[in-house]
Amino acid sequence: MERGSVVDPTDLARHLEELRAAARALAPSAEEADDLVQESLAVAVQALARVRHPEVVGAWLLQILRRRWYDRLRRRTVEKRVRAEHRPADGGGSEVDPEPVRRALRALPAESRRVLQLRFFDSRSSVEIARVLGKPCGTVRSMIFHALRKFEEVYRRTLAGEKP
Amino acid sequence: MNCVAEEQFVEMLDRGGLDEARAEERAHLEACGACRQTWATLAAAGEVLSGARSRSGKGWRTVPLVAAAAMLLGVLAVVVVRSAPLLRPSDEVPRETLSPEDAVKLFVDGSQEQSAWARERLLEGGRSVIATLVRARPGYRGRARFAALQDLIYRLKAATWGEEVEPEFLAILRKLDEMKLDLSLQQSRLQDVLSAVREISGLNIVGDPTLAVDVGAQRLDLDAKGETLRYVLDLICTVTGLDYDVRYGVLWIGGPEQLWPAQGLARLENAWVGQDLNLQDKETAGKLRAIRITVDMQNAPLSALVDYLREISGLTLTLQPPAGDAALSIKAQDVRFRHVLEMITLPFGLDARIENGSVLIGK
Repeated sequence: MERGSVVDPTDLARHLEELRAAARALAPSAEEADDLVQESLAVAVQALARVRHPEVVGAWLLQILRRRWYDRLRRRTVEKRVRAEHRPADGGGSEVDPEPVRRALRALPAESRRVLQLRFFDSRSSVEIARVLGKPCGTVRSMIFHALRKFEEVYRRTLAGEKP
Repeated sequence: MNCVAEEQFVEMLDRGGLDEARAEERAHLEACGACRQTWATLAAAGEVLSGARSRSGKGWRTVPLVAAAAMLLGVLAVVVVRSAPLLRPSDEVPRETLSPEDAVKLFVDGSQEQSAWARERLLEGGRSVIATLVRARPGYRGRARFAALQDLIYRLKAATWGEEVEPEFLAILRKLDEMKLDLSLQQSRLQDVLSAVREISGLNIVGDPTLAVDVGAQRLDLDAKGETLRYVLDLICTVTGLDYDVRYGVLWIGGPEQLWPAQGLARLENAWVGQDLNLQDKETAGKLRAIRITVDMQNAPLSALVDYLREISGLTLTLQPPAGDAALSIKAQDVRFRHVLEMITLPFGLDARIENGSVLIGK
């Protein structure tokens, strides 16, 4: 399939309701949820050429929405800190501040932390991690699955300024 | 298709995300809102972790080493600053914009400090920079740091191996460093050179069957006296633009892009390894792990190879459409059946699953 020629921007509208529902589950107010959807769609339109398979555009949009939500939470934390310290704010772009990631990882059980570190920091595949831990590959993938879900939850809480 | 299993989500991440999802996985994501949400949660978390890695360097696993290195660098910095103004490579080339190609150049041709700095950047890149290094290395032959470049490539590869438990894997690693070879070949075809190395070392050295036929026909001179097997292989690969890895239970020779894809991870095991197996399927899986076979076929259609495997193993193997019937050459002695399956499927984008005790080979 040709890259950049398969998804029409109007296809995104099909997923609007699902995006709104997901945004409402994340954002505290309906207005902010709508803002989040709007922002995510704007990002998606810019990056539409990267989608190779139109059938996964819904999953891809939801992924963008989550990343935008993390960015919003992060910007909010930075703004709070800036107000407290009277320092100029950062650009607030879509980048990752390692500190909240560290804090969220520290709050995870040791085994979850280990598999995430091996997978994402040592760039090892599930097969390689299975070798390291001496566990079946399926078990390791299941461990990574649960560790990622837990990490995502704790990371969001950390960004929101809650105790991990 | 039922809802996507937990392991399958992670496998999709391993393969490189939505772009690399299989057709049935994509179709399911299209149909199932719950799975779309789960995917979004996992993929976004994975992006955050990957992003944090690139921002924070080598990660937390090596914190004690980093701390020790920082102390050492602190002492060195005092000495250097006293003698001359310190030129930091990071002042000249911003870390974010340094391409792997530039980093290799800096590593090989830069000052000692620039080289050390570039080395760290390349090590941070992990497996994603190996293909770039392999492609670049012929251009650096004869340079003072060429051996260091070969070592760096090997170190990056070794970081992907984990703690392999199969004894044959460890035997290959041991031979790579311990076995010394005397070889003098002039204008010999690559396939003959590899045959000679295979014979002397006693190792299974298998070429990726997707490599073009003329790759094996290219001619090279090789003169090595008392050199390690690793040195000889590095030399052969430098001259031919190929690379090697220890995978599928053998020493596997292939193109750098196939071995070390820039996006996602090369698959090293068939899907059945991650499947939830019932009792009957477990018995089949046990046989795949235990049976050892020797295979030597040249330009055989995949279907003929599968017939042969079926016959000697007694297992039910089924080639499912649209698996295709590509001709392939493969020669390996006394290897586990599972690894032969990996060698004849994964390079072609095929896979093997177990269902009702049968092994199904297909897309």
